[in-house]
Amino acid sequence: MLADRFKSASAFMAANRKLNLPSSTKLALYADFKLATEGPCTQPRPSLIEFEKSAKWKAWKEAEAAFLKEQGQDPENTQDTLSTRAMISYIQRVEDGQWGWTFDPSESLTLELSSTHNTAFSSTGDQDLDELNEYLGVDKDEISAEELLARPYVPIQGQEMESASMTASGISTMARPEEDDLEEEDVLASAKKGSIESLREAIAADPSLVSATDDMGMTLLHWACDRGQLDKVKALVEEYHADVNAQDLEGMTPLHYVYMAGWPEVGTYIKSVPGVDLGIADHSGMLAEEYED
Amino acid sequence: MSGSDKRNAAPIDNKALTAQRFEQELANAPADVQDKLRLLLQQMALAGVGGDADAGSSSKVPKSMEDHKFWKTQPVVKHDEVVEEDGPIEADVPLEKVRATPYPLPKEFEWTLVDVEDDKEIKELYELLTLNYVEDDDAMFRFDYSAEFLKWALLPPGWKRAWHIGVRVASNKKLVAFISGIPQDVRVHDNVKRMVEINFLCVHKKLRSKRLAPVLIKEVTRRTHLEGIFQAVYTAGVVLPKPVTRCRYFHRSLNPKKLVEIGFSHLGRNMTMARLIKLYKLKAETSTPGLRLIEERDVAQVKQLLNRYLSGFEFAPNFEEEDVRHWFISRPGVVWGYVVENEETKEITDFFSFYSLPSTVINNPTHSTLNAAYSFYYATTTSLGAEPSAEATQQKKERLSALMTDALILARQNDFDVYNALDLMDNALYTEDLKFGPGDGYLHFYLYNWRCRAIETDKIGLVML
Repeated sequence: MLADRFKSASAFMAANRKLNLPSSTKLALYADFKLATEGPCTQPRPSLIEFEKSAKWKAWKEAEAAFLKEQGQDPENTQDTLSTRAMISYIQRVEDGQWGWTFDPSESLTLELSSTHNTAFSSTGDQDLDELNEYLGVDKDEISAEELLARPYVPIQGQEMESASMTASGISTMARPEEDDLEEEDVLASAKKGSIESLREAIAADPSLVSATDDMGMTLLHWACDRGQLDKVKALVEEYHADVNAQDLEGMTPLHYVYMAGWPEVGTYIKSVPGVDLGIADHSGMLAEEYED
Repeated sequence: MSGSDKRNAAPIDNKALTAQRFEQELANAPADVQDKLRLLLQQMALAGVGGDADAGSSSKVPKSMEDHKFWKTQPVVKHDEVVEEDGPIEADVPLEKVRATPYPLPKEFEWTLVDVEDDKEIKELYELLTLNYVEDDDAMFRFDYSAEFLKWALLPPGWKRAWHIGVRVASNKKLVAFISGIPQDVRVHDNVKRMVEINFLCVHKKLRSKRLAPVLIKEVTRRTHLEGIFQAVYTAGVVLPKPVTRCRYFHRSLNPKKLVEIGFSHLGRNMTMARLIKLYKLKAETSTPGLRLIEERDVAQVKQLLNRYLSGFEFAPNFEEEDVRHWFISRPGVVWGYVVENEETKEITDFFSFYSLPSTVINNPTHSTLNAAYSFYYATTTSLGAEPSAEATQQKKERLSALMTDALILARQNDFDVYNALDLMDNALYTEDLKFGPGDGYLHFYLYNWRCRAIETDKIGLVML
């Protein structure tokens, strides 16, 4: 069936040579056609002054290499031959170009057979089978399984609810906490948890943020350390001179957060900052390094 | 997933939140009012009447017309039907009336039996499921079944080759669809029936327009009829006519940092990674005396204990010794089974098990696999057979909490990132205390050709893989 569609599409293109297509499109179609009908290019490289021949030869070679590469990357399609993929590619180009080609199933004998097979169902005397036929109805789908499998997967609206993966349950993940819904997008919140750009913007607007603390006594540096955001940690320490020994309401320094959350790279950096005090205990008496897992 | 589904994503989340708020309000009402409202809510949800019916992303609202058209022809309870009395929907079919040959497939396809014991064929099945056994297309995770897991799931005592049904493309022999059944005695209220558990129904996602699923369902039904079985049990994330009950997933973080990094869970407002890690920290070693891996010599006792425990539920399997041996003796990387042996009497007092079903993490720079443990069957002699009382429930709750804490520790020792449980069996007794959080996924339980009065989730004693 794929071959029928390919023949029909290529016959259409041959009959419509007057279509004013860009040469890149013509070359792409040429390369797909050659790969589909003759396979890999074995001809010697034409002389460079034969411009048209050279361009065609190159297109053919490049298309072949591209298909082989794609084939190697898609574990689904290792069984497809080069020619199958080239035919599909050719058909898709002709479809996408919208030059007026439509596939008429009556062009081919195989399709005539299949359409009579599918047009009507009559009672078979087996009630279950009749019900099934009634459900399945007429197969309007003219694209063969082989071709569908070789095509890239495109979800089709309305089809995902087919009971196709009926016994599958989605992979449940943790429901979002309700409070997320209420979170206001304030400057401080995005500086705490967002990107380095949002941090810079917030501090530019209000430089006092660098030493400000939130309701848990945490500074921006505490937050950056908790999240392991090394770029923000460096900027806060080196550019904005944030206090590397600041203690929050539980007595924890930025380094405590680094060890509790487990960010070795950030830990190495903080310990290298001049003036860092490794001897600060939090209110439970723990030094930062004692939280190392 | 289609564009319209994506647009709907936000409102669905809001509904879930509304439901959550409602739950909080509900907690302040008198106990009997609470119970009635809960039941009403559940019925509304099952009937698909607004409420929180479609809360949660994987609990999708039913049925394209196509689905509806097919299910209309099947012996299942209709969405608007209220069941007063249990019983079959269709009479058993005498063997001579069972269709003798397979249902015809659309041309270009052919039936095959997948030989689960053959390495090459199980690999084909594994690839089909791994790449296609997902509910929606923009998921962050994809189940990653192992060959060993599939052998365990598909070759239990009494398994039948004829129920490992595949479909191949005739021209290139590629395996593109599958459905399986395994036999299981199931008790629903007071009726014990030999049933078939249907699982792993999967059609290659590029071929969903070929409508193979109904043919697979008809064919597996025919083959179970040939064995004299006329009822089936199955579970699904989607809503079909008509769920016996709807269970919710709960998740216990074991590796909270990784779960946040892969987007499985989220840091709430004002939550630090440091505090999150501290919150979920577990002891390094288990604490229940006499806890050890289940062994062959425990099989008879575990069978007895488990069946006694399951007799307290309205929807539960009945196990034979060979079932206990198959399902609960540990298999590396697949299932872990533990017993507690009284050190003096040598009696087995408790039992629990969990299995591994990892997922591939799609598009994450640091992590490729989510290692998830799923709570499986368990049982305890604590309060077993006692007259219902607040005290008996409290004792059972304490015992289960201790056992499941050890299960969490063992799962952590085995490098699991999360421990999942549905709100069935007695799980609701311990999930909150043990810091399980509600998931966004739901699982519906279904019966084929069996009417069954609605069952509360905590009366479900059947766990399906």
